[in-house]
Amino acid sequence: MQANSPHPSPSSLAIEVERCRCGDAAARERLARRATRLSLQTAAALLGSREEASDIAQDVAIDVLRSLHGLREPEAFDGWVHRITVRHALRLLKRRGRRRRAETPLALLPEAAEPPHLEDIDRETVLAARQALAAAFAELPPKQRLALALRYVHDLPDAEIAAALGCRVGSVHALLSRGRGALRDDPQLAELALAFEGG
Amino acid sequence: MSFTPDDSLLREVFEPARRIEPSAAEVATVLARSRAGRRALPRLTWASRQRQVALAVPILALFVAGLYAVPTTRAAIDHLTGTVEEVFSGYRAGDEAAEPGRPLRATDAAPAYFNDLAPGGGKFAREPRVLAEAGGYKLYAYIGSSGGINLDLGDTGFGLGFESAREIGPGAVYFLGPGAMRYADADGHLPLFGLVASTVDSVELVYEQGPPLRVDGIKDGFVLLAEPGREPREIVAYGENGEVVGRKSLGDPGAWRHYTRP
Repeated sequence: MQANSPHPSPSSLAIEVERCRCGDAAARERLARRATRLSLQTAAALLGSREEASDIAQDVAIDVLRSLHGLREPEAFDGWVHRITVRHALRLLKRRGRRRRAETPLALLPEAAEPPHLEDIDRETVLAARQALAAAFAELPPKQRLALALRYVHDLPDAEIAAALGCRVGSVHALLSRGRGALRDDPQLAELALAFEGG
Repeated sequence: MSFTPDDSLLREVFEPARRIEPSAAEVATVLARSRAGRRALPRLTWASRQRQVALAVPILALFVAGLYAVPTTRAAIDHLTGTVEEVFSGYRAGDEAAEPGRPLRATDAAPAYFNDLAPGGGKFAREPRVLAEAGGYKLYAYIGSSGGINLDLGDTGFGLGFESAREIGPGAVYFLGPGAMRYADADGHLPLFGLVASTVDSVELVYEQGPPLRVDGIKDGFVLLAEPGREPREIVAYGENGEVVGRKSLGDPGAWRHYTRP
C-alpha cells in the first residue's frame, strides 16, 4: 500500500480530494490515512494519550470523509482537518474536565523509542524532558495547548494556527507566548533546559 | 537562571507525537465507518480491542457450530441476488461453489506475501482468486487471517480489506478506483478496478468524449483500461440480455485528467 507523503504540495492534495470525489477508493484510503495521522498527532500531543488520541482521530477522519464533497478549497485539506480536530478536542476536554484515563505515557510509546534527533543529548535527558513537558503541558489551558501542539508538532505558521483555532493571528501570538511563559516557570523543565543548552 | 523553552527543545519533546502513525486497523475502521451509517459500526477503541479478543473465541465457536447446524446455501442469501454483496457473502462464508473469479495459476505472478505464513498457521492469503485482468493488471481476492475479504490491485501496489461482504454494499457495481497509480501507464491507460454482481455480463465505461469502452464476459470483477484524457464519466453494467442492471457515476469527469502523464 502506498504511503502518504508527509508534506504533499497543496495542488497534489487537491488532486487527491478530486480523485476521492470521483469515487477513487485508493485516494479515499490515502486521505483517510492522512486525516487520521494529522489528527492523531495533534490529539496525542494535546492529551498525552495515544488511546484517547485514537478515539478523536477516528471521529475526525470519519467527519472529514463524510463531508468531503462540501470542502470548497480542496488544497486546504490539512487546515480543514486541523479545524475539525480542534473542535473535537475541545469538546472532549470540556467533557472530561480534569479526569484522566489510565494510559500509556506518550513519552514511553514505541514511537518514542527511536534514537533522539539531537545526537549530542543523552536519551535519558530527552525522555525526562518529554515527561516533564507532558506534566507541565497538561496544566495549560486547552487553547494554549492546541496552539503549541499545532506549532511544534505540525510546524504551522501563526496564520494557519489562527485558522484552525478560529481566532486572530494576534491571539495566536498571545497564546504561544503565554504557553511558553508557563513552561518557562516549570522548575523541572528549567533544569532540563540546561542540559539542552549545554549539550 | 532565565529559561526560554526554545524551538529545538519544544520540538524535541513533542517528537513522539510527531512520529505517531495510524495503524492499518485504525484506517480500516475509519473507512468502514465512513461508508456505514453513523451508528452502524463502533469506533475501534483500545477497550473494544480487548473485548473483541474476549468475544472472539465464543463467536468463533458459534460460527463453527453454525456451519454444521445450518449448511450455507444459496437460498440463505437469496435476498442479496443481483448484488456484489451476494458474490462475496458466499466467498467469505467458505462456500466453495460461491468462490468468485478463477483460482491462481503458476503464471499469475501473484504478490509474494500471499505465501507468507499467517499468525495462526497456514498461508496469509486463503482461497486466493483472480477476479479480473486486462493489460497485465490483475485484481486478486483472498480471505485474510481475520476472515475478512481482501482485495489486491496487483501491480498498482494497493490493497483493500472488508470485514464483511455487507461493507461492499448492495449495488450491482462496486468501483475500487485505479489503485495507487499516480498517472496513466506508458500506453496511456489507467486501470480502473471494480466488482460486479453475478447478474452482470458486460461493463461499459462511458467517457465525456468519444465512444465508450465495452468489455463483455465479465464475471465478478473488472479491470478497465481507461484513457483519463477522455474524461471517464460513468460505468454501466449490463445483464446477459443487454438490460442495464447497474450504474456507477465516476464523479467530475474533468478530475480524471489529473491522471494524464505530465
